Amino acid sequence: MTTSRLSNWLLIAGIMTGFCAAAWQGNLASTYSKPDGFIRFHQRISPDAIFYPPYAMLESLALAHWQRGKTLVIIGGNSIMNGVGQPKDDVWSLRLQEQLGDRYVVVNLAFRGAYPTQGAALVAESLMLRGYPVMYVANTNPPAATGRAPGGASGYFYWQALYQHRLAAFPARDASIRQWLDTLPPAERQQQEEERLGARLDAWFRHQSLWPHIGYRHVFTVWNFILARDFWVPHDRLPDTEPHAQPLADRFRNFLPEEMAITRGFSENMAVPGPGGSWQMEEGNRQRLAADIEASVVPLLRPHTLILLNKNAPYYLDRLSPAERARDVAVYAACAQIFRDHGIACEVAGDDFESADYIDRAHLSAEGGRKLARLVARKLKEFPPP
Amino acid sequence: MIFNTYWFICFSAVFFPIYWFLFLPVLRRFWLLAGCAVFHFHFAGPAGVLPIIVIGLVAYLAGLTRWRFLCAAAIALSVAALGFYKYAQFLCVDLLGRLFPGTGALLERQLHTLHPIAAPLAISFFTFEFVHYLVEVYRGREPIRRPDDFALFAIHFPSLVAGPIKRYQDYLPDLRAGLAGVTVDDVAAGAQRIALGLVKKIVLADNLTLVINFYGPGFAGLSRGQAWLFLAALAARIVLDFSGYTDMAIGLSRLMGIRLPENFNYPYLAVSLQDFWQRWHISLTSWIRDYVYIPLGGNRHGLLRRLANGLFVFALCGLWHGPAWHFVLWGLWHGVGLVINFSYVTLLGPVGRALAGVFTRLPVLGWALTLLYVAFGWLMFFYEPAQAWAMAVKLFAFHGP
Repeated sequence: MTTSRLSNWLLIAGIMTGFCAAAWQGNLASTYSKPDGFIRFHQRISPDAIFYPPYAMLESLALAHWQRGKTLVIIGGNSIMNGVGQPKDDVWSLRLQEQLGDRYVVVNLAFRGAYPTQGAALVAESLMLRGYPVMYVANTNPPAATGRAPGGASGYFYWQALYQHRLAAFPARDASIRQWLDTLPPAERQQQEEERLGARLDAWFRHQSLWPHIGYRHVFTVWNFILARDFWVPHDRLPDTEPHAQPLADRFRNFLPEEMAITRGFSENMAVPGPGGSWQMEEGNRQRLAADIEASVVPLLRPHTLILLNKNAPYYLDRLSPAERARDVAVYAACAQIFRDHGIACEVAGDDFESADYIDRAHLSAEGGRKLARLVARKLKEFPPP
Repeated sequence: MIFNTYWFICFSAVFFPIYWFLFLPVLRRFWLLAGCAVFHFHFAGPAGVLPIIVIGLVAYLAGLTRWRFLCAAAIALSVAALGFYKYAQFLCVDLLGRLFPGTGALLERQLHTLHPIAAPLAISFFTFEFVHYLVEVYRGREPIRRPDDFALFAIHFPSLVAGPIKRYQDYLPDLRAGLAGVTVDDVAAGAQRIALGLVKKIVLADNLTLVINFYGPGFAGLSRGQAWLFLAALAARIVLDFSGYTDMAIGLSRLMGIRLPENFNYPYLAVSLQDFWQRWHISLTSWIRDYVYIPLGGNRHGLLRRLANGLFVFALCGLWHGPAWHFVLWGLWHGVGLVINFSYVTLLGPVGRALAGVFTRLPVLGWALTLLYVAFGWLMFFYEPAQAWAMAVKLFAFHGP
């Protein structure tokens, strides 16, 4: 055999060995890789910065927080629950931990833009299946409803959890996802199929655990505008830099027409006028929300779930007409009732909040976070032990 | 990008090992054909495959007859299909619609009822390869007899999406060699080439794309230095992206023992525009030279005709990249550059000869000018003319940030 041929054989052997080593390291990383001193997935370690924590990391975090004899409170949902608007020492989930006391352990797995049925919900489902004492808290709003486990920036968690066999058998969810996939435009469907196939391969090779681990501990390889020049910096060196809220006088100043349109949109197409100037939730929307809950919240989790319907800031609600305000109240109340009718505790969060409790239309300041923590703690303590 | 999809990774994990372990050439040939068909069908879908089957069948049968009339008709059909699928909207709305608004509007309405949403995958590459084949047969070369040979030439999956544009007389002997046996040297060379392509495309070009997409809309607000860095990023991105893709295509083909022609040869080291086009997208340049430029008269019939031919083929080259005016402008930009490149020595007399002497003694000067000229061309390639002009003005403005 010539030297050149031998070196070619060695190269091929090296490629195969390297692949196996990477898969091995990925499998190892999936068992231990998680952020240090974790409080929440702040913007720099989230999909916003093209950092995609794997599903296994979420589960590792939850289990690392849990201690025998304690109830694990998993927080899911969107940026409001993530604590956007609250500096890292004042995140509402820290206040919730204080309110709940030592018998509970709180872990905040909420992501910006996530639905209550994504990411953290799957962790809660998986741990509950395995007998852990879990309570799940997440948020939504009337038009967003429950969302769907796959799709959007946090949808990949579903495919990973599915192919790692972490989820309960739930035919209604499977059927709903199949139906949803069938209605997608070809490009989006192809993207979902890619996510699905990637997750299926990841169950074996754990590349989706290895790469974020390398990015977190060693070097990150994808540029993004949030980090810009520091994009390559290992993400364990990137602190949570969520700023303190602006002075109250400087808040709510920008994009008033757009924000008012969004505020109105929370109830605009959801309700129809009822007798005596009252409002009733429109029947189609009622049925849609009921069907969404039936097809996306696993029955196992429902008795241990608290859904919060976050209200918009009073600054915007006060600018609605009296009829619009009445419609808003009616829609929130009706949605909460639909969740309760399906065995899920649901509270409207924000009825007694003031402008100072918000940093913008939706996100809570540290003060608002404290109020939210009190509300959630009170409700969770009413839950029977899981 | 198709080569870094999970689907393609799974496809490769099944396809290549079986290809290597099928020792009989006839079985390998069958397996390769099946693989190419699956690849094409997956990414193009039935609506994208059907027109290619029809045009390919016509090209194959026309070639078999060797009747020049039929070959010419098949060439016309291929070009018409490309025109219909890729350029109908541009021709009706952007060209005819501007000259004759009434007719343009009427044609646009008709088009909406007839036209599919997207052109069949890689129709430009199919057309160029079919036209090449038919022209060669028209000129008297031996046609491809075996239908499986023709099918493999047409849908050889590594080169299907972004070239290189193959020549059948080169491809078929390489195909037979690959089917007869793949060596470990082929596999190692292919793997190295794929790795190079992946690094160029995913690590470098895709990151530059993110940078460009972020800073591009706010270009007017960039400082002068940042604006020049942006231009450098734009120029680097396209060469890394395209040549990375080509590296992967060549590497994937080499894994089967089949060699594809090179498409890039360090284009940014070119010391003149003519040199650049001998290094950039070589398979397209040589196609245009052989099947458009030379038939139009090429370098024959005097300087003026040569210059006119050059401008025409580069406008066409621009249009090949996409149905929009800025692509035509990009082509003309290069056409004009080449006209200057070819003619300044003759037209400027002693001054021209002195200039040529300077460029010979100082090749770095030619390199810098060529790179600058090419980089400015990319502004036209990627942006609408008004935006490209504003960007160019900012880069050279003597005032402002």
